[in-house]
Amino acid sequence: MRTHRDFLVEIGTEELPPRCVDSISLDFKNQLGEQLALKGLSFKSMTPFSTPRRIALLVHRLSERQSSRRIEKKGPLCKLAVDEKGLPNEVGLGFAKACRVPFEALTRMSTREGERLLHRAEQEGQLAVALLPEIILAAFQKLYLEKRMRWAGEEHSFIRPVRSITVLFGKEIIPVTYWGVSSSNMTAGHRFLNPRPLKITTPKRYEKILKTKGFVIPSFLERQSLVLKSIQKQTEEGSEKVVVEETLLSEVTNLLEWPCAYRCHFDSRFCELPEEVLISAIEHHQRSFPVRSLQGTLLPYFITVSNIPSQRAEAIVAGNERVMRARLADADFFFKEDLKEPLANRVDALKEVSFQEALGSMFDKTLRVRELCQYLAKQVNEKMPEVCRAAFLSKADLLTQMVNEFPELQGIMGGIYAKANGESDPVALAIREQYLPRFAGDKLPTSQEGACLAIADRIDSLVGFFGIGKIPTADKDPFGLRRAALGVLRIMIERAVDVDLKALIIFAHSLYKMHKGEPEVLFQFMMERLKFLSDEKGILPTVFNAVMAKEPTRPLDWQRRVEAVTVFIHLEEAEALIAANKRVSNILKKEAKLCGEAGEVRPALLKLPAEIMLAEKLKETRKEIARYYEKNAYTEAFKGLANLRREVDRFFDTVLVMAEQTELRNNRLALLGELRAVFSEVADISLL
Amino acid sequence: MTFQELILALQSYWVKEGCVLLQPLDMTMGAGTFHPATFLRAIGPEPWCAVFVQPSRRPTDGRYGENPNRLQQHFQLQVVMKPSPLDFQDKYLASLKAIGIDANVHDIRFVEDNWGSPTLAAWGLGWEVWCDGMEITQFTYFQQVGGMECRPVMGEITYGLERLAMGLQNVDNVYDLVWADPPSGRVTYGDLWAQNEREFSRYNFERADVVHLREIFDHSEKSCLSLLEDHLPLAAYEEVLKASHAFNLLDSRKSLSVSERQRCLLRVRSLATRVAGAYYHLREALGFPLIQKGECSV
Repeated sequence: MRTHRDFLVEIGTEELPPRCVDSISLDFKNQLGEQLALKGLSFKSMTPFSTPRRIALLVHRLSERQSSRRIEKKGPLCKLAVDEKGLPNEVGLGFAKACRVPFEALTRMSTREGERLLHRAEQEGQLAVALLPEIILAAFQKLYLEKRMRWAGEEHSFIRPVRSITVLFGKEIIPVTYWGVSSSNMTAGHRFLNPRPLKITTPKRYEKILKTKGFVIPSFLERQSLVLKSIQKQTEEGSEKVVVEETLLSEVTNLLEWPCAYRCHFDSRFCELPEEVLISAIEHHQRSFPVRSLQGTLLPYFITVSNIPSQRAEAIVAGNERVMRARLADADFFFKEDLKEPLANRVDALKEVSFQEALGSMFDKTLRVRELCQYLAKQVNEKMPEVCRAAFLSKADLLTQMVNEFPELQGIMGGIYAKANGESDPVALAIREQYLPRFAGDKLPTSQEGACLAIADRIDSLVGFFGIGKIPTADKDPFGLRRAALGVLRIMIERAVDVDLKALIIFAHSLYKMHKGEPEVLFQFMMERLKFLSDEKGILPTVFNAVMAKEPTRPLDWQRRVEAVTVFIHLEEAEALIAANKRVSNILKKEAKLCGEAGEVRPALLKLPAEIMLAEKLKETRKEIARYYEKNAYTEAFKGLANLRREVDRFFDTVLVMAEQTELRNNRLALLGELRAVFSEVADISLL
Repeated sequence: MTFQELILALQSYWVKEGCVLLQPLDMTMGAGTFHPATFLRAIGPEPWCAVFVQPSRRPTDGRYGENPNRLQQHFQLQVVMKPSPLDFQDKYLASLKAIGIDANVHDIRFVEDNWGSPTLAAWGLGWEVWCDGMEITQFTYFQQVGGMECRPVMGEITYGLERLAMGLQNVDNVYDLVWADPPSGRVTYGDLWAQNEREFSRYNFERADVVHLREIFDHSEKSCLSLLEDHLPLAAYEEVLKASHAFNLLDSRKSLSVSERQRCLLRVRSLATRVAGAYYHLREALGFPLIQKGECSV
């Protein structure tokens, strides 16, 4: 008898949004795997497939039925169910009947109340065939989809219309109906190369049938490497190279079922345009790949990857070249026109550009950002006359024709135009870098001016949006405020911009002259982002909490403390000192209730050698580490504290804190208070 | 294939597919979506299939006839089918074949595009269709129109006729397109529309009477609301179109401040939403007559 078969589910769709394909494919794998596990159906492994028109999953060696289950059912006490001769009475027979077995099949078990009847049996698992429809539907229903849509009169939604459902368990079709479609063993081949429906004979042959008969490469990875290979084939080896941008590669791969690259050309006079413009036109607008010389200069070629090996390649090339020509001619025109009007002259017109409803114009924002930059420059104690100029010009490129046509180039064009207008290098660079980091893991501004401008721009937006109640919720963040907050923190920490975030927010809030909005709410929101950042960096939650207990307001300072505590907990002395601190903390907490503040240590009242030595060592250590605190050298400070270990241990070994004499007791509590204060300077060690 | 042959071929193709051949609305508007045969007919359960050309005006896109790709007025060929047929994409691809685009020669791609119109309180999901890298069509499944859920869903196909023709005729300048080629002599797009572009660019950017446009906007709004009270949603909708075009012209004249612009948008949106609701209730009161008549049951 067969014990398992391969299993295939495919959702055939109209063209899916390329950015979603990978995530749906992964989610489908998880959901189906979870449902199979839930029903106790085991399998060897899963192979996902995805193209623009299908999400599929091949489950290898799915078991034919649920594993059989051992059933144990406790019955009545024997003394109630069986007479002295061991024969069952009505109760005993009743239990056997309920279990659907003859009485003789029952066994016995001993329990605390006495011996009981027991029914023990193996229940055979249900057949997979019977369970699969429910499993498949549950997986369909649980799919997480970013943006759903409906079509025709269909009630159930998906990300694009569903056209077929293919389900095979071995050679057997498992019947399910969803999205108005009933399952079959048929699927669609390539839209143009083989438009007839294809029959899938067995799950194992799915991939092969699609490839050989359907002109579809169902494996994403294989298709992606084919895209790469076909691009390479279109470049001159030894004199050219193609730098393939990862996200574009995966997007293009998810736009195709049968990749085929073509080499296209554009007029070399366009090579005089800024490189960023060319790249944007080629990559962003045309989803194509730019060609470079081995030295890295852009060449007047681009490679487009199409979905068909055309019977007339020149038609595809000519079409793509026409579009590129029109776009670059526009860009060229915009560039020359834009250069006629310096950025500085455009700033005034920002009054007519909306920043956000209820938050005024981009001109208002420009002025606020400039003030924030001035504030930041003062905070970091650097003379940065350029940063205010950069801030003043920072949004002016929104009014250029180029940015209007290529919005993804905002900031970048600003930098290019600023330079062309004769602004200084730091001004141009700061304008260019103001939107960095654009996404998680993106690079940060390289200059101090750029960092300040980037912080100022985001803080202004955050304060503004929080002020009008546009606070992100768990699942909605339409203005990208989380990303903005993370950007600010990353710049402050990684580019070492040492600023008091709380004070900065309060200052930014004052610039809006709004009465609404609590700066504190935003500050807390940003500190929560810090937790996210901290988890990402693998910082221990206890370390995070110990530092947060000090309510730090300067992200850079926070970072230094976290680093110091992380070093500290790995010191040999750490464990004992943490324990001592917890003890001190507990004692003080308890005694604070009874005696109130302990006051200062009075040396005359120190009697025992251990307390005298601790007091002396403490005094010495404090002096030593004060120098470190001054320089924010927290790690060094901790090393100094570690030296206290011997004295602390001896103190607890030999001194009774709760002495009978009130004076002595209070003095010892005061000593512990000092000890705790010195330890809590950087982080609350007792929380570790 | 001349421009006019292109129109004729697409129209007769879609007529064969069961669409009613309608005519453009004799009013200024930004896109075929504003035509009542799209906007209003997308509302409610009644089936509806139509094809028509709609001259579409985008005042700010004017370039005084000097840009080879940009026009303040272009022609959209609009196809709407409700409920959207299950083979809508296949029907569309067959229409390309009917105008001589062979999908085994040209690279046809459906590239994700999410469409939304803030003024019409409408949105939908679909694609822009690329032919050899050129966007030739917008393909949308309406999800919401006039703030109302679309049940069933109307599918909309909008061909950008100029772009399509430029590819077919292999020309780089829209004014070089051959519109008609009778024995009496070739007529180009430029012959027909170049002067129109020059004049209307000047009108849109320099001459449109701003004071009067504001009056039109206010008056249309008032009149729309009063017509709605009188249960005349079709007439009320024409006032929405007037307000919307007045808004577009005020925009191209750069006469709206930031906050004013936003407010005007919302005012048009609110009118469109009210008209949609009124239209629905009126059709409902009539018992949705097209359901009984239509062979496509919902």
